[in-house]
Amino acid sequence: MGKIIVAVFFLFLAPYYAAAQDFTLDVKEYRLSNGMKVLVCEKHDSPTMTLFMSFHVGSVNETDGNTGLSHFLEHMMFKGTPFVGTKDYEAEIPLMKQIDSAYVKIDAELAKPENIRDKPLVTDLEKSATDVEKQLKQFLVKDELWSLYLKNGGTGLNASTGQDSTQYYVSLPSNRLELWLALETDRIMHPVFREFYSERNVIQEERRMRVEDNPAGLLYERFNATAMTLHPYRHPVIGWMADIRQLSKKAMEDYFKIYYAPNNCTAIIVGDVDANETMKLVKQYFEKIPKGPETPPIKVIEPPQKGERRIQLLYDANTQIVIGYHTPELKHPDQPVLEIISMLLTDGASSRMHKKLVIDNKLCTSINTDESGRQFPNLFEISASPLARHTPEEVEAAIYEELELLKTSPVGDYELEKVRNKIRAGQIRSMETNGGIAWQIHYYETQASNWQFMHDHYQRKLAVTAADIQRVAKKYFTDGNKTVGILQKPENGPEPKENH
Amino acid sequence: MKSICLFLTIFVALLLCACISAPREQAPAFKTQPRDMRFSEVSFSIPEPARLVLKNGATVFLLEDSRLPALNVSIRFKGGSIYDPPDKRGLAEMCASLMKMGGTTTITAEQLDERMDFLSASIRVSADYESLSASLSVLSKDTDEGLKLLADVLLNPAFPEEKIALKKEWLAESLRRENDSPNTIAYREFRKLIYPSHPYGERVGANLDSLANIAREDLLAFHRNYFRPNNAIIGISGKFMKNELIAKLNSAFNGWNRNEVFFPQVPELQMQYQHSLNIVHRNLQQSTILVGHLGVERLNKDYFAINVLNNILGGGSFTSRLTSRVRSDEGLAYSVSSGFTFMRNPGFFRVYTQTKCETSWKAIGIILEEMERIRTEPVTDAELQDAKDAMINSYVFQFQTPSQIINQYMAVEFDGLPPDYLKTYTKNIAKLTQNDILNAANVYLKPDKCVILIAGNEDKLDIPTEILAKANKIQLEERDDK
Repeated sequence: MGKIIVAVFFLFLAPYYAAAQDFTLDVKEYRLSNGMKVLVCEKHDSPTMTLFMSFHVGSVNETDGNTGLSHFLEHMMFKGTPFVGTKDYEAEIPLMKQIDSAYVKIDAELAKPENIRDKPLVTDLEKSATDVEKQLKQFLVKDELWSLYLKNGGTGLNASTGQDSTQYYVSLPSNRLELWLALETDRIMHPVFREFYSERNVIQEERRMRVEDNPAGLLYERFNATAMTLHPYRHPVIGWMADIRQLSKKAMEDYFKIYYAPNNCTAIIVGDVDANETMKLVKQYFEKIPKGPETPPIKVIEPPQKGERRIQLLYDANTQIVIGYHTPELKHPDQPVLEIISMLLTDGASSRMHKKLVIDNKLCTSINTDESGRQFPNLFEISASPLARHTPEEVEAAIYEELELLKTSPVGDYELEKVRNKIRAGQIRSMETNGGIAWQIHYYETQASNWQFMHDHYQRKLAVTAADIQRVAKKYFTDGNKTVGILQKPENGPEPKENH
Repeated sequence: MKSICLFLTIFVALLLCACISAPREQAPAFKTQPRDMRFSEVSFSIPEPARLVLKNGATVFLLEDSRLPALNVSIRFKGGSIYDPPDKRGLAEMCASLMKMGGTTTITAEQLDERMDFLSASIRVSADYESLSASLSVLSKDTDEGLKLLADVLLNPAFPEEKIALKKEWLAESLRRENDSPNTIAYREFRKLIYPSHPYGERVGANLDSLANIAREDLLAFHRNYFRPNNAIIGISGKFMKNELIAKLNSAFNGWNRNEVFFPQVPELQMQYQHSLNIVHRNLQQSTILVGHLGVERLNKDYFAINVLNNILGGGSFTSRLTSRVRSDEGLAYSVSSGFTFMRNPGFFRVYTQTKCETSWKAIGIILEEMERIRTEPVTDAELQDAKDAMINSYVFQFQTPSQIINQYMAVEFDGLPPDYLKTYTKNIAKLTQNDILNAANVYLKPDKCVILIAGNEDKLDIPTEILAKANKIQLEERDDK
């Protein structure tokens, strides 16, 4: 559940796509008394529904030293409440307090330099905490929330954390709405962060898997932290290893209180439901959650880059390249143009870069671009894996040549029509499943604060002209706006890795 | 004895839950505890596609569904990498991917790519161990052109030398990059150990030696043999009129003739189980661990019991025993799971986990303990009921889209399952008993005869020295640098 790559789908209802330039997705929007937004989309194809709780909080809301907190909290939201996941909550409380106070001391020791750390004390404390954890086990009903969803047919049950949002989702047979409402209301009102310290270890393992031992993950993290210097998009979603190790329960509780309020959440229901009936039940449950404070705004602005940045990552793996240019937020008029450019360059076997770099010049086995509009300015990214006989410089040069071409010669009508066809057909296909629709609504809700922006965004993309592309390419694809990351094998054999 | 105790504990626990009162400021949001909520099973009927056999011998399933103006065609042929000659491993995969990638005798690869992109359509051809697959996804308005192009790819691939060379270059690069991924290393070596003398032990794609041995003539011969209508099951779903579509199919695939398909002899699978500890050293922070042995074939009579067993042991995510112990109790791993692969011949059983090198042996100990425990004590009533409920209540999700539905029917036909398989699935799950699970565990799990594979940093492993000394050390496959 690390950085989520939000795929960009487009929705479309009219049966004949070519005729309809104006599509509307029929979503009913409600605002509860506590500020929670509820979006319901009826779709009666099969007796199922997809349910989302989307919180407007992610690693962008984190501060230095506390990176990874949103993601860790996402894991902890599955650990139960005073009523779910336990046989005797009252009996658990004093034991959990003992463990917490042991870990406050342990973490304080671990924060000290190694030479003055009281290691025997740490060992003792850890042992006593482990003993108490064993006592606690008799009161646990392990992973009860997860288990209740599964035995009720829950499918696609999971949660994920991104830079801008944290989302909890499940698909259920359509007669089980009340189960979802009860479990979700319960965990937002009073989650209990059980098994906090073993989960902190689990997340370190997750980081080893996604980042430390994954060359692409490690390169991306270093590259991103180079391109973004001030804006909190520079944080890795999973958090830096040194931060994860010392994230405290206290910090999590404080963070939870600010961000997991109904007024910072959108609930999404797509499937075989009746909106009016659904809302009666939704209100009975969700309106019990008390309204929370306004969340603090993010005021940091990434300063203009003004000069190329370049990093090298020595790692015992084959070469990989990632290049990024700063680009504006989703609602900016230039963003759809950049999305069209991304499609022109790498969407499909006949796309420009694939054809030139992969097929004709045989420089790399794959090339990808990513321009996913976000709530704050982010990056247009290009990544490639060169064939062994080519240097990264050769691949870079070929990439820049394609970007220059966008600036110097206008894209023809045929090529633009090809991209528009993909946008229209993509919409049709993404309408097929409840999940596809729910992700769409979620994406525009969290990135544009408004699901209805999907309609504008669709129109904006279809309206992009050859002149727009030239202008935007000139504006953003400049050396001074560029960051390059290259992973390469060390020349003298494998580099010893830092020890975590 | 122990199982009775477990049952009692749960009984008492339920009573306790009913009487405890939570702190006053934390009143529950619900009147009925979620664990006590009861819902009826949702009723749904599985749509039945039309099944027909064309004159040329192709079996066709058709499912009309007008909700989306799109059409999906999916075709499966018997064939695949298990039939590849030993010196030409990867032939099936290379042929399949070059059928699309190399263009046809009537349209070049570039023209084909261009047209597919313009129509926002896709054609794919691929190979697996025991099947070859082709598919088309197209908007309904482009049905005629889509079918014509799909037929062209299937009937008239050109296999130009230049594209063969390019494909080989990509394959070599992907082999070179295998060692960049701990998972790829682990599964590659694990397969070799489980199947020392059977094609299941190898990659589907080519290896460095076989790459050079595969020539254009091999691709032509392979294509001629396997891609025959009498060897094909075709599934078509989406918006169309049945009779009209059959006419279009016959016209597009005109000239596709039946012919006897030759299936080479596949080496017999040695049903051997032997404990071994194997270590692949690489400078990693985390070990990727596989523990397992030979498994069962798809048509095994205990298929349902094996699936429920696996769900309880390690296939049912958080509710399964392995996740509960290795992940949430001990905090040793983010991912831990068990699984059976079902093939025509026995697939394999494996437990998979990734943990920091320093806790590898500890994790392996727990895995073997849980494999043993499920063989010696019956699973609890509650565990069995939860697993069955999960599988039965989620069954509806396998029939949400027309292409999902048609793929289910194609799989029944391709695997040779009984025709009522889909309709009786939930009944077959529902009737399983604790004893069925215990028996399945005893027959199909062999904790004392596991192949244990660790891909990780040998110097950091927590394995006792005397055991480590006897372990089989596997050298990473060498990679040339140019």
